[in-house]
Amino acid sequence: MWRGMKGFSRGRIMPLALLPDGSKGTVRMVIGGFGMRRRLRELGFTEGEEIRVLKGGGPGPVVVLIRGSRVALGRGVAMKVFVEVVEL
Amino acid sequence: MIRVALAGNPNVGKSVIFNSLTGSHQRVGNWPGKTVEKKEGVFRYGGEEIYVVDLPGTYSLTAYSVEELIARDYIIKEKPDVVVVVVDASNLERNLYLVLQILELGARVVIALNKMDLAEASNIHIDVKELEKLLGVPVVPMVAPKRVGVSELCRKILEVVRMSKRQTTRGTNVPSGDARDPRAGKQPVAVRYGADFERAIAEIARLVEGVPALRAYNLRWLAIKLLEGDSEVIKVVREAAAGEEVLRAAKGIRSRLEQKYGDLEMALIDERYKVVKRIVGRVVRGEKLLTASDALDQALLDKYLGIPIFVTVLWAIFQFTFIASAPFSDLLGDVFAALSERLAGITGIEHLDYLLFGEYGVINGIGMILSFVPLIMALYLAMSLFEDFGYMARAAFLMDRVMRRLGLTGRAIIPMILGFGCNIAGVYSTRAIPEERDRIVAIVTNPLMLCSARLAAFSVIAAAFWGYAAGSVLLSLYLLGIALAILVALALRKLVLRGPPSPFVMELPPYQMPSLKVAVTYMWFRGSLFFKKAGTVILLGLLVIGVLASTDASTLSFTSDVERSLVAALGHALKPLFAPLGWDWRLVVSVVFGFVAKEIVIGATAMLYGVPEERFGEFLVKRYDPMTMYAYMVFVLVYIPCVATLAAVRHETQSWKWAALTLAYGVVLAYALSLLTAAIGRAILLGV
Repeated sequence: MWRGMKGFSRGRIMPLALLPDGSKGTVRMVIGGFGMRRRLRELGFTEGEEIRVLKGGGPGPVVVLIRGSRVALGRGVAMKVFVEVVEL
Repeated sequence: MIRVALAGNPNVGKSVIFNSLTGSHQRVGNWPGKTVEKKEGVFRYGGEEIYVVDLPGTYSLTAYSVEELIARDYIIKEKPDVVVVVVDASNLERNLYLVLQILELGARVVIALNKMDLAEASNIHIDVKELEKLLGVPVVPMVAPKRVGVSELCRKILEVVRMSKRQTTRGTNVPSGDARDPRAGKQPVAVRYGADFERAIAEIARLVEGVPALRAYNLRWLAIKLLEGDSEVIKVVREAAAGEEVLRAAKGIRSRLEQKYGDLEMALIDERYKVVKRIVGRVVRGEKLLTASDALDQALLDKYLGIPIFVTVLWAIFQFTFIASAPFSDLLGDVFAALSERLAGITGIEHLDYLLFGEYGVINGIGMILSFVPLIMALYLAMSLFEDFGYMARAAFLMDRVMRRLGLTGRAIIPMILGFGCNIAGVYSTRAIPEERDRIVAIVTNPLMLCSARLAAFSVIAAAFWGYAAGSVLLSLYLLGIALAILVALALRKLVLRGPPSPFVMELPPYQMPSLKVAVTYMWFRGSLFFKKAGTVILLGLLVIGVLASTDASTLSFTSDVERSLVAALGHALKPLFAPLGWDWRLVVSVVFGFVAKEIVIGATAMLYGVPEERFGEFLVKRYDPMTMYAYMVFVLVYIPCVATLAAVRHETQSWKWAALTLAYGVVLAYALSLLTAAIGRAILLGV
């Protein structure tokens, strides 16, 4: 955990699953299969979009606020959404 | 008749609007060949008869899920006169995406801007006039549960229909009846995409316009889909005369654009969201406050509190279900029992009389099915209220991590819970699981949830044999069922439906006051559906068993002596198979009866032994040792879903294969497990 914590600084790009509760970021890249990438994009995970982590950092799924709605992502998916940290 | 389709994201209040439009004049069925629910209704307004169909709730119309395909196909092929897009005002940004896609289809749209009260409460103010202007379609602000805006919506629907009729008669319209001109120039400025895209769309639209067979479609939509490389649309164009040429030219335009923007399907999603942002920026004022919803989520989704709260909610739902339904169930059962007693002997033909008014005759059968309806209704009522409140999405979220390890998705938790009430209800509720393979795993394992019918049988046996420990014995059976469901799910994932459950992506709707009206309507339709669907199957099954139990095996004429009946013959024939379990032919027959409905197992067995049902428990204690009876309960728990559940499995998977598999694994597991239980039990008891 400690080694992971060192990466937590503004401007760093990291998987959404690792961001703690209350942090803010900007979507930079989504990896994975085409179907999943399209689905996330249609839900508003487009590049440059701001998100806020409502529940996160744990071993389970995360909840983010994006485009005014709350979206829950399984941890597997949340590891594939890369976010630029804006605020911790 | 005017035909209206209701579209919108999930959880925007579509069903409330549907209900306020149609009242009780609605019909619930299935989309042809699909397991997605279809609701239709008719109402009158302003002297016109208006037909409404409720399209499945979707976030987009890309046509990659069944729901999206249904919604898209309906709008394109059935060409409803008006598409009412229900939009959540408190969540405009997410909802406008679908609006743009429906506008792309060239449909005549009226926006029902619902939940205006919620938007105001969370400090979001929407300039409705500006939104109308930007989108170029009527927008009706609504608060559906309070019926605010309902008649205005009807007025707008008629207005749009009348306007389009006038246009058609003046011949200014595209032949399909589309209100929108395909060329980009006529598109409202606000919903235009980037200049490069609009140029490409216009170019392709011109090409498509030259193909007569394609004029039935909205040209702008065809052009956009060709740009995206939509396989269904490409197929349609290829089949048209001169379509190949269009495809070739479109491909050129496409690859030109791809060099600059990468994958165009993705790029167009971005374009739509840019338009959405622009519109939202101009019509929405006020920063969304963190709402009570978020505060509630802090508690309900808490790492430590979340699951205990969930368990408490479940407990409350079940308490409510059983307590609220019991008086109605008892009353219905008693009324029909009294009725058949009263009518007994009325036909004068002994055999017919037995089948109609006997202990397991038609009248009592109807009573039995009806007495289950209150239970189903109460369960649906409670579940629907929690669903409407927004909690069920949270339950799926909470359970996803655990369920995923077990080869199931978090969303399978709801069907499992309903399964404890009734497996039929459980199987039908798997519809909410979007991915086909995940759904099948949830369906096939559902019969292992110990339903209330089996509970009724088991509690008699457990109380007789274990007295105060009966509760723990029953609990062990519940847990056994869950453990087996997990094993079967894992085996399915390993052997048949390989791969992990599909990734969890789900919107958590804001909490809201549930609408009792929607819940009651839902309960009523579900209850009557259960009565019709399950009722027919159970009644038929009872008749078959009635005939078997009352027909003499040697003379094939009526007999009141069960020992001589075909059922007894069947029991004797199958007995050697069950001898290792220590059963006599009557127990064998009882599990045959159980296939029809598990709640008749005890009554039927008591009848076979000729012992009154109230004293049947004591009788069993004298006759069988506890382990044999425990093994018997294990067998009844696992062996086979009741015939109505099996019919539901068939219906929901649209295949006999899965129904057959459900039956097969049940029988095999049940036999093996009860053999094992009996053997272990005897070893312990006899100290061998």
